[in-house]
Amino acid sequence: MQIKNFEKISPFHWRLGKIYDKDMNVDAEIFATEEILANAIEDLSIQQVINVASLPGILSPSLAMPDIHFGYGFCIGGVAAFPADTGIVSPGGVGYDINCGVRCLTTGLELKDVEAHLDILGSSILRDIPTGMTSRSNLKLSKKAFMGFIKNGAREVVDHISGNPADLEYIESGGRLPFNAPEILSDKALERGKNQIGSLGSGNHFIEIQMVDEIYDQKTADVFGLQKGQINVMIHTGSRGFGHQIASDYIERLRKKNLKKIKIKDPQLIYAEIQSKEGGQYLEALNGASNFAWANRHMLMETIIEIFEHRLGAGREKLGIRLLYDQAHNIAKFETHETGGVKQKLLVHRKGATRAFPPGHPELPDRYKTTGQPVLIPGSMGSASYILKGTGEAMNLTFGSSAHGAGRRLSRSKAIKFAADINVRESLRQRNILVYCVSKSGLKEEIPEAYKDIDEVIDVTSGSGISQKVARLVPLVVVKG
Amino acid sequence: MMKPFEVFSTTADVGIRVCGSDFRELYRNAVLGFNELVFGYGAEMERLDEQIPEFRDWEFSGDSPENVLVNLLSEVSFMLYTKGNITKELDISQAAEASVKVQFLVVPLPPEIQPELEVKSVTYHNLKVEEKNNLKTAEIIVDI
Repeated sequence: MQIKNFEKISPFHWRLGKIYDKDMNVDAEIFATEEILANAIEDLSIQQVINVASLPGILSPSLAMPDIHFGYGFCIGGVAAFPADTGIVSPGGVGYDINCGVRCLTTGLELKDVEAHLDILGSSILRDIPTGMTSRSNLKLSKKAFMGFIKNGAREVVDHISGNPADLEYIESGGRLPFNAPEILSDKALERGKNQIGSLGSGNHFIEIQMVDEIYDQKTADVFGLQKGQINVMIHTGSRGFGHQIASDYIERLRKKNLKKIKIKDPQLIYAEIQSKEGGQYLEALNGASNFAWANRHMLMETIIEIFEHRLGAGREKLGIRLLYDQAHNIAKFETHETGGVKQKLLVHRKGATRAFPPGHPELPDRYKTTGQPVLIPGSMGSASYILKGTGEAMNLTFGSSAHGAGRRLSRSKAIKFAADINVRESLRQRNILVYCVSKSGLKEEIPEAYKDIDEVIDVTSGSGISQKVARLVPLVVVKG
Repeated sequence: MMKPFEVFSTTADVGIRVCGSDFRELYRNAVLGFNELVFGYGAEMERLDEQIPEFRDWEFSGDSPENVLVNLLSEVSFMLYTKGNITKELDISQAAEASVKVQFLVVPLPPEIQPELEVKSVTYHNLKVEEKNNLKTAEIIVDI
C-alpha cells in the first residue's frame, strides 16, 4: 500500500476507497498529515482500519483519528459505527482498558499561589494515591459495596465518600451508564477490581498539575473557566484490572460462540450482534466497567482536592476547584447520528478516540451548550496538553469524534535503551517539571522522546475541523504510575 | 537455533517468542517466558527455592493452541497480579492441540522480587502457532 492509493479530500483528510480491498464494506477515512499517514501505512495500523471496514454492517466510513497507531483489533484512534438494531459490537473496538479516559479540574489558583507547594503537592499525591502495577485501593470493600460503584459510577463516590453533586453534570454520560446485571461479571473480574477503586495504575496513566500557558479561543475559554496562568489538574486512568478482565472474559465468550461462524481478518475483532444475548451482556458489562472507571477518576479527584485543601489551608470553594470535564477515550456507546439524511441510533466504538459533540447537542451540560463539548487531549510526560471543543464537522465527518493523545514512537525497550544514560527526573526538573514515580524503569519507558509530537496531532485535529483549539496547558508536576 | 523462549518488543507491543517440540513443551516454555518477560532475565528467582510451593490444578479445553496459550498465560497472570503468587514451575500431565491439564507450583511473591511490568491482558494479536523446523512456534503479545 502507498499514499497514492488514498484520495486527498482536504489537507488533513484522506480516503481509501472500498475498492482497494474486496472485503471492505465501506471506505476508510484517515485524518492525518502525509507523514502521519505514511507512518500508519508502515506500522500496519491502516491495515487495521481496513479490517474494521470489512466488519459486517459497518456504516461508512471506517475512521482513524490523527493520533492513529497500531492497536489490538482496531487501531488506536479508530472509530466505527453500527446500527443499534442490526449492527455488531466488538470488544476489540473498545480496547482492554474500558473507559480509559481523562478528567480535568480547574482551580482559581495561579502559579504564585502554589509555586512553593508544588514539591509537597506532588509527593503527597504519590503518597496518598496508590500508584504502580500492584497498586491497591485504600478502601476495603465488601462485594456489595463494590457493586455500588459498578452500578452507580461516580455518583456512588459523591453519595458515600465525598464530592460535589454539581460535578456529576460535567462527566460524560453523567458518570454512569445503565448496569443492572451483576451476575454477568466473572469472579475474576470482581476479584481484580474490588481492591483497585481509587488507584492510578501503571504505564501511561498519570496525574499532572498543569498551568494554562496559551489561550486560543478566549470566548470559549471564558465559558470553560480557563485563564492564562491558571493552575489545573489532569487525571488519566481507566477501569484497571476490572475492565481488563471483562474485556478478556468477553473476547473468550464471543470467540467460543462465534469464531467458527464468522469471517474476520483478525481474531481480536471477534464480535457479536448487538441484539444477541452475548452482545447485550458484553455491552452491559462494558457499562459496569465504565462506571468503575468514572468512580475511579472521581475518587482520585477527591483525594487530590483534599491534598490541595490541606496544603493550601482552604476549602474547595475558596480554591475555586471545579470539574471542567471528564471523558472516555475507550468506549462503545449508543448515540443518535444523522446518516444519509436520516437520524439513526448507532453504537459508536471509540478506541483511543474522544467524543467531540458540537454546540447545542442535547447530551451536553447547559454550560457548554453554546460552545460544544470540551475535548481533552493530553500530551506525553513533559509535553503540553490541549483543551479543544467539539464541532459540527466532527458530527458530519467522524460520528462526533476526535483525537485522544500523542501515541508512542519508540517501543518500551527502545525508550529504556534511549534513556539509559539520562536522569529523566533531573532532565525534567531542569525544565521546571517535577516528576514523582515509584518505578525507575516506568519513568524511562515514558520519556517524552518515546512519544510522537502532540503539536502535530493537535494541528491536524484543529486543521481538519473535527475539534477547535481552546487552550494549551503545560505540566508543572507529573505523578506517574 | 531457536531459543525455547525469548522476550521481544515492537513500537507498541511486548511479547514472548516461544517454541517447543510438542504442545507440552510449547505451553511450558510460554509460562517460563512469561516469567522472564515480567521479572527480567536473571531476576533472583533462586530465592524462590527457599519457599515451599503450593500445588494448584488447572485445566482448559478450547478451540485451538492459540486459545490454550492465551488462557494459560491469563491464568498465570491472574495468580501473579491478583493473588500475589508466582508460578515457579508447572507439571503438564496432558497437552493437546486445544487442551491442557496442568499442576502449577506457585509460591508467594517475596518482597525482594517484584514485577518489572504489569501484564494487563494476554492478546490474540497476530497469534498463530506454526510449525517451523519441526518445532511448534508462537509469538504471544501482551497488553501492558
